[in-house]
Amino acid sequence: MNAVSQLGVIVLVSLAAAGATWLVKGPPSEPAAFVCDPAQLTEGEICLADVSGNVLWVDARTRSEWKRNGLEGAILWNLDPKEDENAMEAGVAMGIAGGAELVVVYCGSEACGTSKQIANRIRGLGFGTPVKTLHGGWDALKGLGRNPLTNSSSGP
Amino acid sequence: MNALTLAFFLLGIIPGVAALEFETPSIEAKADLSDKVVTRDFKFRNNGKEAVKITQADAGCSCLAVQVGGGKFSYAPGESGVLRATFELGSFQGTVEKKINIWLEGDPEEKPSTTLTMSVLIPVIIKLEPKSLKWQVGGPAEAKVIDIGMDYSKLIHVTSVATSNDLFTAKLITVEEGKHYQVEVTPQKGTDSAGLAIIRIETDVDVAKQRVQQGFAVISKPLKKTK
Repeated sequence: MNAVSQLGVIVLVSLAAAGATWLVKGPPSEPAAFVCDPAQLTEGEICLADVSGNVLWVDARTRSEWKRNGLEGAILWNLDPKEDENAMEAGVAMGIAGGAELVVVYCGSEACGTSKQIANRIRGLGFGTPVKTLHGGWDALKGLGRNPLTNSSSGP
Repeated sequence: MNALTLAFFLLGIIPGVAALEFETPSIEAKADLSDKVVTRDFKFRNNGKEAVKITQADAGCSCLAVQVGGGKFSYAPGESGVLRATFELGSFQGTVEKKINIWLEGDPEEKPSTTLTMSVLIPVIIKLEPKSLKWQVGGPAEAKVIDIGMDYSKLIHVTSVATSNDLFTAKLITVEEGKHYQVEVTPQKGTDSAGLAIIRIETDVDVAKQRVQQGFAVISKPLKKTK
């Protein structure tokens, strides 16, 4: 058997296995929802399931991402030096003064890291309101609508 | 070529098997106040057995440009290269840490092969302590003070102090000209209801991005205890 025939056999066997899997288990499913394991939380993190009450959301992603699908009422504060940090800081301060009992910062993914830096800057303001970063970041929020606490899909 | 060899050949071209190794995946850089950008190089080598192609390098921020040295994206086994990261400082102060994700050909969109870190320390030359002054609703409407310390080779004068509304008054006190000031803030309408004002502090420092500082004065109800 030459190489081309061998390759053909391998391709045929692979296709047969894939077809059988499709028939038995059905078509590929949607990606699994992000699961937050409390045992995996690092200091200052919170699982989405534990977020409740009067929450101020802070979006640490880019301005374009915040505009596209930021959570309802979320305030932008990222580490883009082209942004006006004083204005972002003031926005969060006013949100906290508005009665927030908890501030939750999220960024693009678990690996992003920006949310932790922003959370430290918010703590540094000294308001005393608890500040957490969302474990999983945007991965934990995807598909939950504009307000994950109510599953509302309405915009701001 | 027998079937086994062919299978290994097929496995060999499965995306993600080959990888780049970076000399220093995490770099810290200290910026000078006069800097507008900070540039650092991440050196790498293809230590895998297959050629790799860099398809995307992204820091998720328009402030950080990432370029592959010489515009060369494909690297044979044993070949070395450089990724140059250029960070625009803008108006930030303190430490800013950015992640740079590197995708090789075949990487899934959600899982880049490598994540690099660039931390930039931007000197803070005007320090407010505390950043926020707090009063409780119904509490005494006494004056409180924000301390302003300068840490710079030249004198920095506070040229004006203003509040964003009339809930508070702010008075500038010079402790040491060009070096040390205080802002005394008083809730002039009492503390019967909650409110917040931004205390805007302008200086004559020659570093434009640090010229305007801000603090906060807030009257709030006592915080509820959370878990």
